Amino acid sequence: MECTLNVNGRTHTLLVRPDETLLDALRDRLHLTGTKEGCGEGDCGACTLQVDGRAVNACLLLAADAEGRDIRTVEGLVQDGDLNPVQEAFVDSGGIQCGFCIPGMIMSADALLRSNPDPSDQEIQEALAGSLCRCTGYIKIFQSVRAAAEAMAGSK
Amino acid sequence: MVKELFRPAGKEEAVALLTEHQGKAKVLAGGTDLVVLLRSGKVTPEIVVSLNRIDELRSLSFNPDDGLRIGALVTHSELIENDDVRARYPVLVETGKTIAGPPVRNAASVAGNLCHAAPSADFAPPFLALDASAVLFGPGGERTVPLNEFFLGPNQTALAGDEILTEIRVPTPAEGSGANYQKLGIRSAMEIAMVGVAVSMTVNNGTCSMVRVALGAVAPTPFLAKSAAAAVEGNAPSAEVFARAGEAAAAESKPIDDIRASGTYRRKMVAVLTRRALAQASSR
Repeated sequence: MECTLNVNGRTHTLLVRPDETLLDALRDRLHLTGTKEGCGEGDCGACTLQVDGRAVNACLLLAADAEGRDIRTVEGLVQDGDLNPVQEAFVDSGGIQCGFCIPGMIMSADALLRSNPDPSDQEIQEALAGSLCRCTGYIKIFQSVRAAAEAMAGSK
Repeated sequence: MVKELFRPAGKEEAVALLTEHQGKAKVLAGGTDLVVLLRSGKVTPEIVVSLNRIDELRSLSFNPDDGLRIGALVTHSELIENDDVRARYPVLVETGKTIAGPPVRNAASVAGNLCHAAPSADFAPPFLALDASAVLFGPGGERTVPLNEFFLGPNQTALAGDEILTEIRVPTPAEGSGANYQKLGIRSAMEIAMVGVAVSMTVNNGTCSMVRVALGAVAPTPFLAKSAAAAVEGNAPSAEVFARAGEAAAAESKPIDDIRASGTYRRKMVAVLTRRALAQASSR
């Protein structure tokens, strides 16, 4: 079936299967492979992106049912070729090991900091609770989010 | 394989589609349960009817006369962030925060948690304890089903094949009432309840009344443990009374052995969690 998706500020009209997930449509049809597939059941958070500004699992949404929503993937955080402050903080703080969970972590962290620029430690932990890091690099991931919050506060 | 996805703009149209394709259709809201089942082939509907364009189902409102009204598309996050819910139904906020993680809560509908009817559905015990009911809409119009008549078995509800749940209604809590949910799990996020116990009660002049005890994950459906409530009703709140109610709740439970816990362990924990939930609810 035909559907029109608004992804990273651009409108795409594509043909999808009625039961095709947003994750599959983004990766296989739009070739936006920053969004990863881990478990495919909403348990691991590797496919986390933002819909209308909130972090959600792309593997649990049907592409055709996402019509009319504002979809943002990790690729969409980049502005004019520059990483956004959250991405920058993950690079600078060494928050990335194998990297597979990181797009999801960054999309969750970015959604958190947009709605809550000065989160408590517990709020950061809760915001990332839907993402698993199999390298177990949680401490540096946590520090990256803290660094991003501080960098964003400092630039204002 | 799903042949078609429909996105009707009104609930009448949704029901007409379900009537036309009865037995071959599934209803989609948040998708956090259904999409997993579709992908694994555990359910194989010919059509899927999405409710996501039906804006009236997004409403979430409270007033003292009607109580809380939760539209079918209200997400877990929208419920637990709502000011009226935080002020008047804190047990729903506490419960919601134990469910999955933010990305699931941002998509999953509260109504879907009930319609999926997992025996361990976290929202079921507190809604049962708060005396909630479900508004079902079908070809013949609307009917209201008390939640304690809604769950019929694992993944089975009172919803007919041509009906949708449009709203959850929760009465305004009585003056002096308190409620609590106790969940047994290993992790603080992304966890399915091994046992869930919700309690609602009112303490006036040192006497407990309007006591409701609801158990989850320890029977084919979430249910009200009536003998546990009766053990507390009319008594002064005390550790002895709550311990007796805990034993009564354990006796009413029918837990199974599975990969997450043995039935014997679950039954012992029903007694412990019921006791704790009663103590918490009575001190509010």
